[in-house]
Amino acid sequence: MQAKRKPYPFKVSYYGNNLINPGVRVGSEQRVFTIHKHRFNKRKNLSTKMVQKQFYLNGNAGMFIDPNSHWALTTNLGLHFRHLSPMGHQFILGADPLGFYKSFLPKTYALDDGEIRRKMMAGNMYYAPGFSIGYGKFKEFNKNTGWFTQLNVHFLQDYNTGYAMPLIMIEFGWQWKSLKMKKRE
Amino acid sequence: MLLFTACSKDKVNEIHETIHIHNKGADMPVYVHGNAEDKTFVIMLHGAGSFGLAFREGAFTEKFEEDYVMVYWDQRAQGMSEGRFDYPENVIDLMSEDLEVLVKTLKYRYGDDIKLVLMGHSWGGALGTYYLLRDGQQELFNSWIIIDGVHDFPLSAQTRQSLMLSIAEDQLAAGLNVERWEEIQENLLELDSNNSEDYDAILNMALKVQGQLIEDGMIGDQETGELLRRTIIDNNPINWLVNHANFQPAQWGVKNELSMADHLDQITLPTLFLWGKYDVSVPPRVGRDAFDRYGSAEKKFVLFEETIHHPFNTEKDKFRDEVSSFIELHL
Repeated sequence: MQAKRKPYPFKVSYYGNNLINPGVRVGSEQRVFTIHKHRFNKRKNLSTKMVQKQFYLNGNAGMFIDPNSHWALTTNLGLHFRHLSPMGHQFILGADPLGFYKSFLPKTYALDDGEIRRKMMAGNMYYAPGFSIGYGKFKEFNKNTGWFTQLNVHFLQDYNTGYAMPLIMIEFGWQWKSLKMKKRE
Repeated sequence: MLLFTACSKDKVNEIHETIHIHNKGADMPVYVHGNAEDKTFVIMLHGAGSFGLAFREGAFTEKFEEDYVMVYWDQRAQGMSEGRFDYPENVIDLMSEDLEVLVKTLKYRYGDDIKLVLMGHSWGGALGTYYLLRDGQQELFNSWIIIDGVHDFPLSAQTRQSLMLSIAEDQLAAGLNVERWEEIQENLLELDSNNSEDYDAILNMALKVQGQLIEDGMIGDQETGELLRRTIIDNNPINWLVNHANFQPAQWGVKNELSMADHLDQITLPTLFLWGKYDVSVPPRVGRDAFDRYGSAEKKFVLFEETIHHPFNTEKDKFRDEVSSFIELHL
């Protein structure tokens, strides 16, 4: 018996907080289902072009540095939608209800029993759901290889006195299939 | 994060680094820049809605960082400060505790023999005053510089309207934009500074008066390019705006009618008062009131004739010279 193992697209991107604080992000996606729509050419009486509407689980892990104050790790998981045109244009909309943000603060000092001491691994963890909107293009339509640019907005919950702090991340990335087809007996 | 520290021969005593202090749920960045040769550290307390690095330009970089180490601190829930804590019942008390942690941290990190100067602008003036009234804190400092700072919120609100009316009269007498100043005067006379319902309306009038003074050419030139760069590039503008919108210590002071007037005689530290003549946020009368009440044997009041609320932006040279000579006198 021969079975195909589905390749998972692998993504790497520049992940800039407010565009200018540099970072990097890696991620992958797992297709949930795809709707194929054929555009009908009336003149030739042929169905020639195909539009895809893909729903997929999307997961990412990223980091960025704010050179003046801190660095941070982010992770997120959510359901994304991709509209793929016959020409390879992709439009992306995503909701990431599962997201976390961890800041790391350098050289932090706190009062401990009346004495100042250095606090190791200082920083804060926030639940950070978010959404994203993007555009890109597949170079090779069937191989899911291409580029994308995306605006990601995360909301860091319970920030300071309990409000949500928006975190705006601009992403420029590439995606390709990371695993080759494997045959199994 | 260490950006650059003591690596060239010429700059062997220079410090350029970011540290953080942690206190009661808040993590607050402290940007430390300048020359540590004389071990003089100047702590800058920013105003409400501002942030530490907003001051890092003009006299601060061109003069003060050349001579001293400037300590730019983002106060609790301001600028790039983060963490998690409940809104405190007494905001200024908690923030003065943060300042105490900052002072102890500076001594721990840079040596117990460092000399300290405290400088506060607007809300930072209130915070510094409150902090200095805590037991034993004045002894840690060589001098205190208060720039358009508020010690009495009700007095500030009461004198704002009368200052604006007096400015309007002067401008009318000088024949400048008569129609506009008459309109301002008319609107002001309809308001009552003793009525709390008119508080916001009077503040809105203050904005109009400021705009008109600038249009009339009464205010010194302000270079906004560098401040804009600091706001957008060195600072995260989203954090700054959202933090400011959600945690407004000055509003707490207004709401609670905070006044430290009756305790100012306890401050005996050498103090420099710097005030803008046209400060319709914290009028010069508030500064004069503080000046008269301070118990300091060495105190000086300086009025800036072409300034609203930010003398370091509008009369840079005079600001630099006054601050520099006062610090030197009391080291």
